This record gives sequence, C-alpha cells and structure tokens, in this order.
Amino acid sequence: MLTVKGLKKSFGGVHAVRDCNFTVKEGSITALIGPNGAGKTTVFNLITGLLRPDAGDVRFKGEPLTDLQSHEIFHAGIARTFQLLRIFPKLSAIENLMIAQPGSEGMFDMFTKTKRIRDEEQTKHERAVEYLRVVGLEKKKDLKGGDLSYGQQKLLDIARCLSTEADLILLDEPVAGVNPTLREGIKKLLVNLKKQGKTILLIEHDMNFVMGMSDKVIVLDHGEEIAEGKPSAVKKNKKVIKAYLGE
Amino acid sequence: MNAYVIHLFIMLCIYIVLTTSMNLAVGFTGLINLGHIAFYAIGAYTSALLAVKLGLPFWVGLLAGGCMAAFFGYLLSFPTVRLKGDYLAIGTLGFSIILEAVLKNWTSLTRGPLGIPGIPKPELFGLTFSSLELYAILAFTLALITFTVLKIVTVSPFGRVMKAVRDDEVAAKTLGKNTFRVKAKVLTLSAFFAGVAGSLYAHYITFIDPTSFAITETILIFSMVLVGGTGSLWGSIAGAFVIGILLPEPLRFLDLPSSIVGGMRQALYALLMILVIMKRPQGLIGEDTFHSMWHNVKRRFKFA
Repeated sequence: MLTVKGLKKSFGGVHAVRDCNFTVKEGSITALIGPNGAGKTTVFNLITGLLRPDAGDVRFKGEPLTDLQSHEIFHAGIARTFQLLRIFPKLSAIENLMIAQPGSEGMFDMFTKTKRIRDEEQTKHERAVEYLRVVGLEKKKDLKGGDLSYGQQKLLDIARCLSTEADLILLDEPVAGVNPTLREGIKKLLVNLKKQGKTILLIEHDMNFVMGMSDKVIVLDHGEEIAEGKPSAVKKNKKVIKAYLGE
Repeated sequence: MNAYVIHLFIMLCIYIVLTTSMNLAVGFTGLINLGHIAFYAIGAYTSALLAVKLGLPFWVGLLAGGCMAAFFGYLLSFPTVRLKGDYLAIGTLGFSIILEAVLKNWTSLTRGPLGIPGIPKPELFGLTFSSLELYAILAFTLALITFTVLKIVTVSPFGRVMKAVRDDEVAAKTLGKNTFRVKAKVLTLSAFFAGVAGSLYAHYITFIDPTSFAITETILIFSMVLVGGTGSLWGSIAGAFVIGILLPEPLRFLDLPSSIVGGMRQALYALLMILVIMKRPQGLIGEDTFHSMWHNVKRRFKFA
C-alpha cells in the first residue's frame, strides 16, 4: 500500500534519513523502531509532506506522494498523529474531532448551503461523539483541548486521527508517557482497527508494545534501515541489539 | 438628539466595522496583520476619488472601495506563506508605511498632504444623507451587516478551520486543510470590510488626508481588538466603545489645556492596556466568555 524507495533527507550536515526503503502492506500493522535520532519522525514528516525529500520516492496505492502538499496527502487517504501533541488547544474536544470530518467548508457556505451545512454538522457531531466514546473521552467533549491532561490529549489526538476514515494511519509514539492500563486499551484499539481493514504504521520505543501486535518491524538507525521482518526475528538480530544496547 | 452624541455614534459604528474585521484575521485566524489601516485608507481614497473625480455615486464607491481593499488584502496574503507571527506583524506594518508614503507623495492622484476635500454625502433614491441622523442610520446598518456576516462566517465550519489554523497550522494541514487558501480568504474578507469602513468615513467627514491613516491609527484599532478580546466579535464592539468613546471623550469636558488632554489620553490607553493584559488577558469579552457564563447559569440552576 505504501512504498518508500531510496528516501534521503539531510539538514545541513546531518543526514537524518539516508537511503530508506520499506513497504507497508495493506491491512497490516507495521512498526518503525529505532534509537533516538534514528530518523523515524523525519520519515513520517517526509511521507506526510511536511518536509520535502532530497531524493527518493514515496508511493501510496501506486501514486507518487512526493509532489503533493500535506493537505492533498490527507485527502489521498493518509492521516497521522504527532509525537509532540498537536491538538487544537482552543477548540473543544468535540470540535477537535469534528474538524477532521469531511464536509463543505467554504467561507460563504453558511449563506448558500445552509441546509446542507446543518445536516453535515449533525453527521460530524455524531461521528465525533462516537470516536470520543472509543477513547473514553465522551464526558469531556465540551472541554477545551488545552484543558485536558496530557494523557487525554494524547487520546484525543489518536481519536482524531482514527475518526478521519483514512486508509493508512501513521502514529508517532502513541503510548509514550501513557500509563500501562491505557496502553493496553490503545493496543486493543489498534488491533481492532486492523481487523476492520485499516493499515497502521507506528513509531514506538517500547519494544514490548510493538512486538505483541505488529506484523512487521522495521528498524532504523542513523537514518538507515538495519533490519526488517517479523518481530521475533528482529528481536534476535545482532545489529538491532547493538543499536539499542551498544556493543 | 445632541449632534455630538450622534457624531460619536457614527464614529463608533465605523470603528466597529474596522475592529470586527481586523479581529477576523488577528483573533480568529492568528494573522497579526498591522496593515489593516492601509485597507481602510485604500477604501477611503478609492471611494473619495471616484466621487470627486468621476462623480460616481456613494454606493458604487463603497463597493469599489471594499473591492479594491479586498484585492490588496488578497495580495498581502502571499507573504503569509512564509511569514508567521511577529514576522507577519512587521511585514504588514511595512505595507501600511509604504501605503502612507504613497498617499503623501503620489500628488497627481491623491493631492498628497493637501488631502481630498469636498467628498459628497451619499444619495439614495433622491434622498441625501446629509443630516447626522440619516448618516447614523446608514453607518449603523453597515456595522450591523458587517457584524452579521462576520458572525455567520466565524460560527460556520469555515470558522472552525480558521481557529484550527490559528491554534496549530501544521495539524490543520495534515487534516487536509489548505491553510494558505484559508488565510488568503480571511485577509480578503477582512480587507473588504476595512475598505467599506474607509468609504463610510470619507463620505462622512467629507475630507481625507494621509494623517487619518497613519501608523498611530493602526495601533489604536489594534488596541481596541486586544482590549476587547481576540477571537470575539462582541469583544471587538466592547473594545471599540471603551477605547474609542468611553475613555477619550470625557476628557474633553475637563477644563484642561489640550496639550495635557492629548498626553493624558495616551497614558490612559497605556494604563488600560496594562490592566487588561494583567487582569484579563482574554480581553473584556473573551472568546469563551459567553460560553462559560452559559455554563455557570446551567450549573446554578442544575438543568445540565
């Protein structure tokens, strides 16, 4: 579904990503792991168009993404979350989700398509409530995003990403700083989503979290892929152990 | 009614058109645009020149002034791709300084510092809006239209996108919003109403010169928006009233020499600004003031 070929990006003299190749199969959970500074988030930013690659090719369902703008990539069917949360602090929790739903958003649509907007808002609201319920935030729906706790903001970000109906979901450290109970909750959620046919690519530091549910693990170090395969195989790979634990 | 009071009312209406439209960019979309007064000037000069040189009626000038300002607003949206926050503020401030210089020096068109005198009062269906009362009705109607249009835009799904762009532009982009187009539309609409305000002002005072559109005016309108409350249209009305009328006008009735009154007015503005920033950073009527008041009422009567 997603193919990354020869992806390169450097910032000044730092080669954040050099020659990164991998594929993500439809309907799978793929984990992108690696030590700090390995270039994982940069890869996400390159896929979602927030950064332009120096070289290489990213294809989604066979179509090239590298020339598209971020908002066009979203409409192609890719949604993401951020490691440093990027919820809208002054919008309420429910509005944070409603904004991710499709609908007409022209400046004067309220004057010209009043009826349609009203119906759409109804649908958006229902769907937003549904996804807030999935992450257990339905009672907080009228609170401002910025007034939620860190963990709740994290869930809100995930809920917003899931509610988009994107085919491919990119999650940047979805359980970092999240307590063990909630962690299990998120895990179940992701496994359920996979059953519903969604494709997930996630970045995670917590090996145990990743190992239990991924179909495939890709290990990055210094911007290069050093291992790829089933979780059990990757776990025993010498290069991976070295990258994580040193010599 | 007292002519003085009606005059204040007309000025208040003009201020409201200016502040609510500026708030659309500054408060709702996070575009700190200090060039708003330039759009006001463009509207005023366009309308005045069309009336004086070509003898076109006020209504044409009003629309042309708005559209001309909107066009420049659209042009000014291009730098926003790169300029954010403080940088945008400086860039747009530059725009209004350039415009002031053009007004002062393009003497063949604007007569420079001499200004444009003899701008006719509006006419409609043979009715001339020369009396203060009639003009007040006109100004009020335009302020009401502006407020209504902006209110509907800000509560619509588009308004939600505007706030999202303000809160986190990167997140808005990755949720499929073309943030540049949103900003361009906002600046265009905001500038349109500033142009309308300019035309309304020109035909009211019947004389304009570059000093009416100086940088100090930008700061005045900007403080109205800040003190009133960014992201709240009611706040902008409150700000226009407090800073435009409530604070400066009573000073006229104190028996003080004008040199002192002028300085005192500035000092009072500064004092109010500091008080608001310290005690009520969200402004007199903030973005959530009505929302949380409603919440409190519901809690008190336990029907939530």
